[in-house]
Amino acid sequence: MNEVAKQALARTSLGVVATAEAAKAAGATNNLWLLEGIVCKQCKVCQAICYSTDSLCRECLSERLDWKRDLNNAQLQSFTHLYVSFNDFYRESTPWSIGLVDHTNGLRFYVFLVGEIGHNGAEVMLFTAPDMTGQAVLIAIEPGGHAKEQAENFAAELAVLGMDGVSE
Amino acid sequence: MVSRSLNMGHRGVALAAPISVPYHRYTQQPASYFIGVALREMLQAASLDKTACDGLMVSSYSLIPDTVVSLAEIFGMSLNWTEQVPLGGAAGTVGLRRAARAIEAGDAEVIACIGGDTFIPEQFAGLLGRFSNFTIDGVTPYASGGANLPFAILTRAYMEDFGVPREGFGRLCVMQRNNALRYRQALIKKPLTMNDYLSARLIAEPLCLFDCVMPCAGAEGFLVMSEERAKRLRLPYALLRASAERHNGSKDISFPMSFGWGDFKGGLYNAAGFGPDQIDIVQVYDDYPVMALLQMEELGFFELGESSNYLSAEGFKFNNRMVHVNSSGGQLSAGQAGFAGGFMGLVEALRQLTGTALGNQIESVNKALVSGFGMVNYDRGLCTAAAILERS
Repeated sequence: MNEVAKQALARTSLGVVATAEAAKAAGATNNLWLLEGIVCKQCKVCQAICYSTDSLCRECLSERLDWKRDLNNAQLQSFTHLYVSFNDFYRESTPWSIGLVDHTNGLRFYVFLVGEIGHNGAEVMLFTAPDMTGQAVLIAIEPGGHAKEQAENFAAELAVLGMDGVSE
Repeated sequence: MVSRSLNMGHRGVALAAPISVPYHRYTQQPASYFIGVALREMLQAASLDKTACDGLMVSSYSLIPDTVVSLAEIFGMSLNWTEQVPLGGAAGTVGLRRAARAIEAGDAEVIACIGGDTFIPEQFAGLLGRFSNFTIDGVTPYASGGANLPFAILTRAYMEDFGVPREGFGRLCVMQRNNALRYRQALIKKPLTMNDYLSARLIAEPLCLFDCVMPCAGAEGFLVMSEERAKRLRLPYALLRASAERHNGSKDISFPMSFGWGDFKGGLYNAAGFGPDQIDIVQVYDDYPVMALLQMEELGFFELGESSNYLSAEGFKFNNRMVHVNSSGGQLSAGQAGFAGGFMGLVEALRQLTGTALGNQIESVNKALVSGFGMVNYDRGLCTAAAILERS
């Protein structure tokens, strides 16, 4: 765990995408878990998929929300290669390829893009993984035989970011 | 859509005493200092004692934990009306609208409207990354790109959807830099060529250095009062003809290229009594070039994706009339002093309409359109606003 990053990012764990706890509940097994798909929340009352969830359903304002794992792919809307970061632990590995994807469930997510995804509109496969703070982020990869392996490699690098390769 | 019955018109509301507190690239002074200097300067400009000012509207992200009433105490003021508008680049226009309603209702007589912020570099990353809970959890963990991330993604989509090359944004940036060279208080005074623009270093592809504003400290503000009072005080003033605001207007659009101005532009022009064909100058919120272009398009001057084709060194022609754009250089050249950036267009429009521009006075400016845009919480700006001012 990179404590510097954890403090700098100060994530609220409100579940924009799954927290580590929710991901583990959905099948993740250890600290370097990788989960295919996304984990977000669904309202038990109106069935709406919620993002950002906080504590209430965005549509009907109900408090009755459940975690929901969704394995469907998403579509890349647009992307950038980020050369400037405001935090040192990211800065050492620039450029970062970041995309914005539309999921089939109607939600939109920022993702780390891995591999060669060079055009808007491309179909991408999503994985959820912990970053160096232990909180979940999304990784998008072109669907194919090596997607999971690529995601695992990227997640492993992300987990030790800013720690010179040493994990606690 | 916006209901046709909404009241966007104003009668008898005057703006006066436009003030820009000179910007500082770095400072250790707090936001209250810049806001206080703006207040002092506008009262001096209007020859008013501070006891005559009974309303205060402020906007500032770095004022925390102080508030507008903290400032009332710090500045030794007793007030009948306060407002604090935390809406970023839309705060000036929205704040003006609220102040105008207070004047019309008789809730206050003279209102100081001020946007001001400090800039302390070591605090900046934290402020950017913690803009909202949604930002903290959904945006910042993706390499902490700040606002560059969503606007780079939007800019790429705009370029691809409409076939706009980087030169299109370059024309806007070069034009605004030329304006800044004539604006006394611009922070950036180095001429910018198209080649400079195109060859600048990458920030977030396709955004390069000159697509991004320079953060700084400073303040912008003006007084709002009745026209009758402005006349009695013998102040140069402009009249507020119409204003509107729309928030989360694009909520049902997956990847919006329109954000809310189009929802109210008909009502806005109708309330003003004239349309874009009579506007002499537009001041659009230019946190990124793509947003400046999209505002001109959504407010009715161009079709989506077309504006950059028509930009010249001075502005653009609309119905055979020259319309000037961001005459002080905008934030891209004059600097972005936090939420003061949302007041810059109003202050500059007011100067142009009262013949008091700081070096770049344009002849025969009678009608101005100012638009604001703010609060990128996740993937899009949530707040849109606009105001139409007219020479008295």
